[in-house]
Amino acid sequence: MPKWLPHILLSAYFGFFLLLLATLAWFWPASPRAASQPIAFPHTVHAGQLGLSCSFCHESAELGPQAGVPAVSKCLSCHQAIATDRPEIQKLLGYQQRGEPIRWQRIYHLPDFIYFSHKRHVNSGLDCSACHGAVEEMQTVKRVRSLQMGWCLSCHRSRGASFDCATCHK
Amino acid sequence: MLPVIQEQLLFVKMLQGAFQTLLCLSLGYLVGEVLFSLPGKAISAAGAPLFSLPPGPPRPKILTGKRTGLLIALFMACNLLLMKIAYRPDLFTGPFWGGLTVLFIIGLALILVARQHLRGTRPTARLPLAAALTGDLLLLAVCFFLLNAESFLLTPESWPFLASRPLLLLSWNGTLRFMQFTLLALMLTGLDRQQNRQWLILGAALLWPPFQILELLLIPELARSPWLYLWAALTLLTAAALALMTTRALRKKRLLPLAYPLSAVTLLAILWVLSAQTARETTLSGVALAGLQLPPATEREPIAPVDSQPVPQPQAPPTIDGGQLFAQKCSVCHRFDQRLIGPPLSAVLVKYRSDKESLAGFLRNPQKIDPDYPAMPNLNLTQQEAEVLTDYLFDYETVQTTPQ
Amino acid sequence: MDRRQFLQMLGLVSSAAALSSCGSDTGQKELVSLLVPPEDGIVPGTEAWRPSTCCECPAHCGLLTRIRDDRPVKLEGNPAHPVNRGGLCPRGQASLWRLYHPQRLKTPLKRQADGKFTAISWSQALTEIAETLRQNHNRDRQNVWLAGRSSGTLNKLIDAFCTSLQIERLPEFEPFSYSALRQAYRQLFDRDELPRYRVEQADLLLTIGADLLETFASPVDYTAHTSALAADKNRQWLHLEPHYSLTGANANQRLVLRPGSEGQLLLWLLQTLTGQGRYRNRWPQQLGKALPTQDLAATAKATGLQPQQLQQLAAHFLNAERPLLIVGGVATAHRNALPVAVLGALLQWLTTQPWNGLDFAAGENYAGVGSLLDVDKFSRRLADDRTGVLFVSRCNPVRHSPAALNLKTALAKASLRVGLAELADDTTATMDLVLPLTHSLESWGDTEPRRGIVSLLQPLHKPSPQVLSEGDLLLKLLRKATGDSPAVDWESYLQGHWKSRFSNAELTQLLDDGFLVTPQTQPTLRLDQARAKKALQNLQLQPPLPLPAAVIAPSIRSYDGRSHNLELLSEIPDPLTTISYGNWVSISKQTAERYRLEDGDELKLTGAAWHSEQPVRLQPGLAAEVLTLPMDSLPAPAVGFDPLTGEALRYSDALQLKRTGKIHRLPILAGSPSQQGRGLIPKPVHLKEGHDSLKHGEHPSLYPKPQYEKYRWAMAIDLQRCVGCSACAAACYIENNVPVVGKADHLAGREMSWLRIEPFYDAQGRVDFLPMLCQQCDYAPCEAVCPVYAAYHNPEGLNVQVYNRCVGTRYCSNNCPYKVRRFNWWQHKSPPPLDLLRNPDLPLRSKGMMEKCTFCLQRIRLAKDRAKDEKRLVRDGEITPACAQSCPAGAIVFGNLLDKESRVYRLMQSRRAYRVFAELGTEPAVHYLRPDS
Repeated sequence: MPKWLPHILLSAYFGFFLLLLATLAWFWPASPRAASQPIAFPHTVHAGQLGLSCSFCHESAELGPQAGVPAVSKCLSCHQAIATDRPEIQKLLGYQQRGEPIRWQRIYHLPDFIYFSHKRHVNSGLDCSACHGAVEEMQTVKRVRSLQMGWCLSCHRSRGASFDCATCHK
Repeated sequence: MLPVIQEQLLFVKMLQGAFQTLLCLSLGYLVGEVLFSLPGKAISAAGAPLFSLPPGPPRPKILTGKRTGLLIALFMACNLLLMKIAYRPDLFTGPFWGGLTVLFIIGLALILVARQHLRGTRPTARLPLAAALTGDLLLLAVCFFLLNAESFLLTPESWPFLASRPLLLLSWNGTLRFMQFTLLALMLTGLDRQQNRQWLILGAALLWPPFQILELLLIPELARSPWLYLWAALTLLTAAALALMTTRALRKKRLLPLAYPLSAVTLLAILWVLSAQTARETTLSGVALAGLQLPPATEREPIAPVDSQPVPQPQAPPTIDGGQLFAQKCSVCHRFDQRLIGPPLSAVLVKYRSDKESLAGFLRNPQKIDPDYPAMPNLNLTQQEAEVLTDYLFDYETVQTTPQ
Repeated sequence: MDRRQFLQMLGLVSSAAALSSCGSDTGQKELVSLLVPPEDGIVPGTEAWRPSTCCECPAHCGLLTRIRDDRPVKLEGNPAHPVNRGGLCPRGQASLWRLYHPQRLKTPLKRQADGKFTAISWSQALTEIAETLRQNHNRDRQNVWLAGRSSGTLNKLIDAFCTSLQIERLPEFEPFSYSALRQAYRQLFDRDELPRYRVEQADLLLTIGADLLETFASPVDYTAHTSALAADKNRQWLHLEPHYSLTGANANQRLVLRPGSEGQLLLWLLQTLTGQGRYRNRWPQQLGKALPTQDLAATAKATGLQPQQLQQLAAHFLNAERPLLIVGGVATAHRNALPVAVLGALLQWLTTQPWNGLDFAAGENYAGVGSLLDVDKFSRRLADDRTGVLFVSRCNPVRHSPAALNLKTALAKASLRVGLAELADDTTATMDLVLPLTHSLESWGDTEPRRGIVSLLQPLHKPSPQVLSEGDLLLKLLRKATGDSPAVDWESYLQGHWKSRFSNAELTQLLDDGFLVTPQTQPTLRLDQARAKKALQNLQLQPPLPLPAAVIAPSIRSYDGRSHNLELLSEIPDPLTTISYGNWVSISKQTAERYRLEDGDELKLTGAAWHSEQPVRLQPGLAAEVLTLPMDSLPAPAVGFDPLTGEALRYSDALQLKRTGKIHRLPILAGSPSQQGRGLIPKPVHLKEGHDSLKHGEHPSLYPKPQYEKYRWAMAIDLQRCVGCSACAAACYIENNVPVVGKADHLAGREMSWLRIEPFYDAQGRVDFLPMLCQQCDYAPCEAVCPVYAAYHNPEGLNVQVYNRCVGTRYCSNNCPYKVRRFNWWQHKSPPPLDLLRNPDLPLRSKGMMEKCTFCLQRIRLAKDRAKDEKRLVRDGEITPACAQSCPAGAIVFGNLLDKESRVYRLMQSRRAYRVFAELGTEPAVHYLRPDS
């Protein structure tokens, strides 16, 4: 066996795994738990300092399957006059003037084949922070739960909710 | 109540990490050493020297015997204690800690007892063999559960359910970390000076990368961070270095000087522990732990299954402070005697002095009246909040307008 | 460790990678905010229902449109609408395909010198038209307007438009013009419209040729009533026709006439009835003398019926209290159209006058519709080269005129040809300018399908930016041409018109309910005896057509061919032949034996002035020398026209048939036309053989008996009522995002229909339809064999398929005795904008997944959600799966078997109830009610 062969082989072997690691790191960075939003809306100010309740803006969380985001007019109900000199509010006003809806980046995303009804969960007495964490302490909203099926099932089982597959799988 | 308070306990966590490293190294060595001496070679009661020296006075062994056992036990205890403090995993019940401790002690004891009979020249007798094996297995089991518990810490959303479903403790990530621990143990065994077990180091180093990659694939998603990949890369490099140096030594049929492989293995252990801690740090942020409805730190309440159609419990209405409510919701736009965004409240209250109920109604359902001011947003006040605010406003007005 | 755990362990490492990315974004990355909150009551993610009207055929059934995410995703019949009362035919269901059709015209098009069309702008198009109108007016050329049936306010606007610009408005063009019938009614009763036949009140229904179930006037309305009539033991429905139609297949008794002999039959019947019994006194004397005579033997010879059958026919009429005769369809599609219509009308007057069986007060609105006589006249006028601008709107005269009229070449003589359409067709291909129209779901409007009914159209989908509604188009053109218009846009014109016509209360009702019924006075039907006498004296009955003859029959799937370009309707097979895509000619067993033909062999048919090569399909029960050609099989389905009435001739007689030897692969979806003795539909005749499939003993089973607590969903399908129209199949496709796979996959046996209609013929050629869907068996053979637990039995009795668990072993489909499981062999992608036609309440299955009927689990879930809000259980009737909802005959009933008051429970208890393959012990949840013979 030539002298250099083991070294080459070992280098290749470890090099391959390092490459694999690099690929993993590239495709799965700190997983997409947060995203940059078109307007830097701070929940710390609104939900935290001002103490607005979640349903003040996310009205349909109690009414239907989707919680949704508030319409631009909801933001403007205060911000037409409040803090209009700040750059982020300027952005908001720009959206209104152009008649353009705001394309928020979705953080809590369930796959298409899952039926999730906010109304049912809110009405069962769950607090919003049970799934979304302490949103009022987040400058930018981050995803703090894995949203994996096992987690959903554990809560369903222990709270006596249905864990029939057809309940959630459309 | 958050079970983890991060900033203050950084030192505690570092200490815990250090103890865990030591525990890993020592326990790993012990387990591996025992395993490989079972066929009847190596360690004798008198103790063969750990370090292979060129002829000289024999040095006492430092990692054998009762002292070793005690040291290991100390490391274990410190590790567990610090983990409990740093992460306050009250979710792990008494039986869990107790069970671990008992198994640990029994395992350690069995080994220490059996070690006496591990001869260097002939195969071990059956009873000590059984005892040593059992001891080894118990210690490995303890490690397995401990490492799974560590991995369980990475999924805080499952914490509330551990009591009802104990199998949640086990995870693939934990199992893989256990495999990595086993590899470390094998590496430590390979450091033996008496025999050329360097092939063990090589084998373990070669097996390290796939397990490392698998562990990363199976780590809970919320635990991922760039640091994790950094530690992993460094472990790969260390393993590569180990493999290289061992290969060379094997080819030359020589023993490496202890310092190099030992420091490499130690570095590996440190990085291994560091990655676990980093993962924990990433996952267990305050905002993530909020809302988990965990039992309070002092007392465990079982989470009772609720009816499919729960009846809302009547509760005594909590007292609301009108002033606080005003500060939170109203003061952004209103002052009492100056125009801010909304009109000065003194002017508004004049209109409602005769009809206070309608003010509460207006607060719950504000209409745009004055073209001079923007529309007042609906703040979703409850009836109670509106009434408290109304009272507060009129009280304040009275205070303001009463001549001092 | 059992098999599943083992596989789970094996697969876990690979799946872990996928699972751990489960929470990450794939697809819907954004949450788009609205600008202002939605209208009251519409919470995001929930549905809204809006009334509208289906304009897929002139029946104009009332719709309730389901809106999800601001888009119409499902059409359902409006239960309150007087025309269809909740049912909707397959074409109505597929109307959404027209809305989202990838080939919808999007811009105005102009034909260039090389014959190709290029897009132009509206101002260019309108300017050109206005200019040409003016020029023609100056040069004394007549501008004309030809449209399909127009009613309501649009009709008024077209009138105003034509008057302002002095455009001549030609009689409207409809391929099914009922001109013979209308001419007869006009002549005899002075009423130029098609009455509504009161089938619901009749106790004897005799239909001659009229395809009530497929295309006759208002098919959904008539399907509901005829199926109820046929199911009623005390009432009877006889159908006479030369060929084999769906209508004939569902009648209590079907008699085969020689093609073209309906006139002789009616004459004999009239003669016989007026000669005896209670009708003798009613028949005016002078008419009695004018009536030509025809004896029984001659009639039997002419019609091909036995003398006893004829006598029995007459006896039925004499014994029935409320007999109703309906003639039409193929009976008036030959040279005897006028005699048939006149005799039929006289018979109707005779037999229905006492009980008002003909409801002219609710007559079908065909007043403005002309016939092929008008087209002929127009074609000649065109040849005179004095026609200026020709507008052709919403009709396809080029396809539906017989070749003899030379319409296509004549059209070239018009100075400017302007076509208005939603989709390109044969007529727009000959136009100079083609202007795109909005779909009926994209603009405001109203229609008046019958007297006294105003039906609402409202915009539920935003049209393409360059597409205009016909009203807007006319107003714009008017402004361009004259500088002035009655209103600024169609919406304001409509509103103005409504305000002047309806009170506020009526308008509110129209907008809320989607329709408005104005009670009409019942006219007394007066027979003009003088004209009747003249008609009888001038009666010239041609002899029956020489055989072999081909009947060019309309299809329930395409009406007159206008719905043929909706691919969904080709995907759903023809109920009688189960052929999905392609053309065919149906032949009888005797013809097949004579020419040694099998399914798929090509046959050349040569008539007097045309020929065609078609693959054959054997049709059990078809008369020996008669062939049925579906209208879609021919490029010009009218082979000529009757000079007396203008009816299109849809017979080709004295055909020469020749086997060419070529073989076509026909996508025939049925395995076999026969039940092979398996008792799938056990008629009482089978019971005689000792095979009692009704009462099967309890099967001991190794599986534990499922326990149901609150719900056990089940279905009852009444085979007596099912007419095989396949509306349920169409509704299921659209509700459940079932992919349309195309001919190639059908040839490979890979159809995707979750619900299929299986026709089973008996030895006499009678057919029964079995709607087959997933039976949701208690002991489902598919559940036991899935290695990954993707198919399992849920606590409410459903066999649930968890799509993303499925790995595609297809063992479940293998094991299913009913063969209702469908596998996605491909990744099916709809071309835009058809990808917008999807129900967001259930996922799109990807390649490699098994799917099947779920009893509309999404509707069950929605109903349970509502019930939970109100803290109660779901009530009977709250959940209607798409198939049950659409069925015009109400054959499908769904409900909770644990609810002893539910309809499905009571139907299950019926003595007619049975289950398919009950002897296998699968314990299905679908109970069928067998048809009594």
